[in-house]
Amino acid sequence: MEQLIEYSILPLMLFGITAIQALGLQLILGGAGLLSLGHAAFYAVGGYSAAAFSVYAGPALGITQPFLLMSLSLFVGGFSALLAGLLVAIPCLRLQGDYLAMATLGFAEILGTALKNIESVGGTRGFTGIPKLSSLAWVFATLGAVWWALSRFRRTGLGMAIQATRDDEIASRSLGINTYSAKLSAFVVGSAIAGIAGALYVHALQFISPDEADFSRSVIIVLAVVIGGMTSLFGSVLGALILVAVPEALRFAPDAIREQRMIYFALIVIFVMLFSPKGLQSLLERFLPRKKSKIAAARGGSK
Amino acid sequence: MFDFIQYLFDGLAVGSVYALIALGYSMVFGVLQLVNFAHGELFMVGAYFVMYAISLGLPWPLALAFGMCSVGFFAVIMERLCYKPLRGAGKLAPLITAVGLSLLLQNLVQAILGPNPQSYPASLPEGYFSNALKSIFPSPEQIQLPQLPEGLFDWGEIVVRHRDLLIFIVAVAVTLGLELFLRKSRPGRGIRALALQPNAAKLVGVPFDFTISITFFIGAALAVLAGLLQGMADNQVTPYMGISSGLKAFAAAVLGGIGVIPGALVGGLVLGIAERLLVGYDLSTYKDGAAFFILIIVLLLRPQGLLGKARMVKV
Repeated sequence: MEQLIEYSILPLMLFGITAIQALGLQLILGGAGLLSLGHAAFYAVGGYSAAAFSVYAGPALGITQPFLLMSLSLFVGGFSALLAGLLVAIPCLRLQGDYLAMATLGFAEILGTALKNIESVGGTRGFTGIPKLSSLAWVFATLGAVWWALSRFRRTGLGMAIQATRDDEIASRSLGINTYSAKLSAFVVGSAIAGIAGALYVHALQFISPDEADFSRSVIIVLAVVIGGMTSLFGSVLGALILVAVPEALRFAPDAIREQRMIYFALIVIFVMLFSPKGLQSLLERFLPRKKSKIAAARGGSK
Repeated sequence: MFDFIQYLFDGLAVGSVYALIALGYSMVFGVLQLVNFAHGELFMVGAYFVMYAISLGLPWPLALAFGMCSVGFFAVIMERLCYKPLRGAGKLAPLITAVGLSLLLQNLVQAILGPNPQSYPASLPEGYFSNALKSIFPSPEQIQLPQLPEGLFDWGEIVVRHRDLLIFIVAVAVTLGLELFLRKSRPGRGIRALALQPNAAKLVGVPFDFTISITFFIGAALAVLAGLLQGMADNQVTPYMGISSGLKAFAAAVLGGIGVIPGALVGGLVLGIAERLLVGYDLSTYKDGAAFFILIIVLLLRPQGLLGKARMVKV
């Protein structure tokens, strides 16, 4: 039993961190309707700068108290990812749809290449020697805080402006909504949340490598958001749960399946999309009628 | 200065391979507005397919034709099963399915054929399937490998390998041929009509599903050709060649103007040459970022790509 608990801590933390990332992307993708294929880049920016902070800057400033150091590095991670988000979004948000996706993907690839060439953060070998500051409690407290903040944010004026922009950009503009700044704030806030997740990650695993900015990592987060159901926060967390839990669960499967778990994982992704293109959340709604009526009521009973 | 010109020529081969893959991305995007992330994997599967076909004793032109048709039909089936049911479901669902397919193909190849690079002419790993194949094809007395010419043009300071030039000529010829096909032939005009105005095209009788199948078939066939060329140039194939070359080829398609056929060629060559220049000037560790750096700069200055035409959106 103890072994099981010990074993499940790391997957649980990974679930929490993936869920935070997914919540950030949910705001960008589900909230603002912008496809970002470089979300992992902001995660890596946050992770690297938080790690650099707690390894280099923290001790230099004389901060050694773990709680304070962790809180500050969360802030550093989030803030640096926010700045990186601004850097990408200000020029690139002029681009439409798939071109924006391409630009974010490009940013992630460039960042990965750059990180491989910076020796002070470990180069291709990755950044090691990061203190272990985060824990299960940190991860889930942050997840809860982000979830709560985002659910409040949706109901603010800006949050609604973001959703209106997603639904019809031209109509929103005609209503006097500054669609550019709505998209910009969604993108930047989503990126900052990814950065916070990165800060949690590096202080949990005590390691980060340039691979974290990789396209495949960004894809995992997009998968989490879309498979769960991108219209709600709950959907993204559900998606993150599935994305972490399915490969973990397949580890316990018979050898033949375990060795090929990526194949089964890919098949699951394809089948979920084919049978429920709006994500698993819509499947749940179909089978849980009470939940459906509640959501329908919140949307004004249409449909 | 001579170095610079030399690198330009050296970049032709890799750029031409990117271009051949980019054509498939470009065509599919033009018709369906879908980024077919599985396309890079078709290139990888094609490279393996042709290599094993050659090692079973097929003469290489036959192996290539066989590979192009098989992978082409595979792409058509893939579209029918995985993309077609999602046509009304927005843009994201097929995109995610494409990512899933890409993961699936990459891991399937890795599981069946092993994760290590294999060099020409590798024979199929042992197993029921390969034994069955080997009993159909009696073991070849000699394997006929496609020979890329080894000679070079030597102009003093600048040396151009025949094989780079050949790959480049193949890419140019294919691009021109494809452009001609799209302009003159009936199915080709159908593809252009669908790309321009899908509903109007359906109204005037363009067979929708058939035309899309043709698009996928041609794209996959060209990816197989690229797979053979790349395999011959590097003398090896790996399960991961699809993901790295595929992403860059997609960048090339966007760079040149997605949906514009000569654009894919231009984009591929620009990226190939840029990568070669970085390697030449001792910056090879930055090579993989270069494609995307150029892409972002071009997108910001000319969002429709180098050869693309800006389209007005009507409200």
